[in-house]
Amino acid sequence: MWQLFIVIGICIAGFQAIESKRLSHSALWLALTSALTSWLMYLLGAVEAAVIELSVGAGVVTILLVFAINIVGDQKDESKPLVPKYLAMFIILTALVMLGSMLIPIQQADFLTVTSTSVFAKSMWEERILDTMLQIVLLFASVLGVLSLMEDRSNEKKDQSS
Amino acid sequence: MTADFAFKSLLLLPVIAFPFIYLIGRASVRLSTRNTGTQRNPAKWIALFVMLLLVMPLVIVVKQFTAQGPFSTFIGSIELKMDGVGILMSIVVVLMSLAVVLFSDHYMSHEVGEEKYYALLVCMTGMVMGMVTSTDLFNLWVWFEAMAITPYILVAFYHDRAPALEAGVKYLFQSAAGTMLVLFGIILVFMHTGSLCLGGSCAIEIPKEPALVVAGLLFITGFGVKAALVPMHTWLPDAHSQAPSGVSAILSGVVIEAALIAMIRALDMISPVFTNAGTFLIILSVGNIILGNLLALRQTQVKRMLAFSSISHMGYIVLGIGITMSYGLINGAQGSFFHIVTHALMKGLSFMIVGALMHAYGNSKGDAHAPLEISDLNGVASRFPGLAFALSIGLLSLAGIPPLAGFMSKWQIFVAGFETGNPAMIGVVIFAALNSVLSLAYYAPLINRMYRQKPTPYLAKAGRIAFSMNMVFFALGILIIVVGVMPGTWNWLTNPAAQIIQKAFWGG
Amino acid sequence: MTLTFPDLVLIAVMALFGIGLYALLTIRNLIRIIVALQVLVKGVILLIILAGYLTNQIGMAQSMALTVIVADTIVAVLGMALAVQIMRKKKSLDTSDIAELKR
Repeated sequence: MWQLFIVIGICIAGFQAIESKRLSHSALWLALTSALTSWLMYLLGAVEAAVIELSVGAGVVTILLVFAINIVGDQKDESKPLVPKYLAMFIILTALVMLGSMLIPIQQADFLTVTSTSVFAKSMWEERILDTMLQIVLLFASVLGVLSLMEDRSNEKKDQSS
Repeated sequence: MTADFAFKSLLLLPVIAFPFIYLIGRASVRLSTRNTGTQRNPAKWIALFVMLLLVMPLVIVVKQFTAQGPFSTFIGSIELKMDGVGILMSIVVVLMSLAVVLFSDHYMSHEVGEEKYYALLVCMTGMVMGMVTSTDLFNLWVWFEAMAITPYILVAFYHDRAPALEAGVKYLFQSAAGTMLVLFGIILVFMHTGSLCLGGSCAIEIPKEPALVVAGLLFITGFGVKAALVPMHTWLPDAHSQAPSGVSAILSGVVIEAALIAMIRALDMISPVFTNAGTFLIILSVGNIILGNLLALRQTQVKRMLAFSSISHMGYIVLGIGITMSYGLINGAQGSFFHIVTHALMKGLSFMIVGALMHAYGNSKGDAHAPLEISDLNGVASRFPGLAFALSIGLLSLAGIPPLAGFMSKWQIFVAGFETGNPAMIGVVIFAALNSVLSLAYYAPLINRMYRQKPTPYLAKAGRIAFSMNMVFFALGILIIVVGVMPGTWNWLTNPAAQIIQKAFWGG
Repeated sequence: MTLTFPDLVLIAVMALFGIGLYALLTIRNLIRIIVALQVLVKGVILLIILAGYLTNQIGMAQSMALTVIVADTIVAVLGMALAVQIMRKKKSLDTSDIAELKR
């Protein structure tokens, strides 16, 4: 039952990530959430996915977030919430308790229909190669997107005025 | 070319082509500005070539489908199945993209980043076709996410304009939250069934778990964000009005409908447990119809008004599919699929004509992206008679005036509603029909302005409409009239699609 | 009722999901919305792995988790690019300051 401490850690880190006043602190708490999540994934036997989550989730995303926060400035967030906090908390908690009562405790059924392999590389490069190909499409589309969003559109205005 | 190869190339051609459209376009712009000082951008020609090339495998796939019914291909162990729904959406998306590429020839020329626009447009076409044919729940999500990424960028294409950025941000965050809910639902299904197979050759037994009902609700909410079902519609008017007009046409005519198809496919998998899905959809559709109409009434910008009308038309489409899901009548879904076709035609036509007018007004207003106000339509017929006539056809068809295409598809949905014989259902259908009449209240003044009002001073100085644009408008206008006069000619397409829905939810 | 390890993981998933949704309801800062979406994503990835563990398909689950990580990192990057542009244009990241499009 020692894993309970990881779960508590995830709850605290996740909550701090969205509630801490400074944006840079948020980014760091998010990295901690990600690291603890990847620990749980490791314990469930998903070694490769845990490593990827640690490097991408805790590494790349945090670096990018810190980079973005550097550009926009590390500001304190004191705006009024969209929905009153207590109401939001109440709605979410009700939904979660309802969902939790359906799902917990987990009854592990016999799955006779299991068709896929338990080897990560085989699944990724053979069975689900289409997903992997689509990831490349996604990556290229996002490169185009960032290039498009960061592009200087001012020379178009010159065209119009001339 | 075998049908299998044609199917694969239909899906993979856009995916392979879109990086090259960007790279070649970019390189050419660099080289031509350095060597000659003038920009030459072949991106649109490559995009047009790719779109025309896509027609060939599409024709082969359609021939195979009409000869032997649905057929599958495998990439890895994931089965992609070209069934009635897939073929209908593929035809619509290729047709619309082709029209938009032709239209954008003049509309987007000399824009910064033109090559990115075409690359992303071609990418989006491929993603829609992949999504409607996927038979793996998670793979469906990946296509869906990929289809969602490209519009984020295209909506914020004019990112030097604050409203476009705002629309892009709204769209990105709302639909990112939506896709997360969908994914949560998909994994709940995976957890309880151990399989992700939907409608393919691997039938599975669905256990009666309450968690699967939760998954169903998550599907309705999550996909509903992208399909603009009513409480989750708030991104749509901003995104559709701020995007470049060609993109608005394809977002409104294809992408939101494709999201609905994805929702129906996902609900299909859990239909033995989640039996009330049809009722939920009918209730949501009523909200869509009335809210879209009421909000469209108060708009002053034409593109925004058309965007709200998309919300109400989405309502009709959802209503028809909901009727089939709850009562098993084939007419409902058939009408809906017919409406998907006609809505793409008429909304595409209207958005593109409004875009052409915005472009023409660009000279006189000094800002090519200034929104087209309703008053800008005053007296358009005196300067552009053909354009005004085509826009009138598009708008009257949207309002459901017989004998235009929009009337025929709406009529089929309403007939299905009466066939159910259920008093509540008949009430809903009468309400929808009344709303269809109400929608004239915002379409008719536009036509009135074009023909009766005095032109604004801007109109005299407006630029001319390019030939390629006029060609597209002419073709779409003729199609709307032809489809309206001969609605039966589309049964070969809409009937197999509707049978898929009927079979999925009623097993017969 | 004793909680097993999968139950604990499920509680973590629901906590992450709840925190993410709560944040989406209450938060207005654009960068922080990206953080909230990332918290949601962590919950979903963990659920994927848990589902793979329960159904003995951990390889496939890892492949799916990888796809989700890539897809949502991309969404986060695009969101950040948009946020940076908005900061340049509007000098604010608050959604209520940005909103000028009317219903």
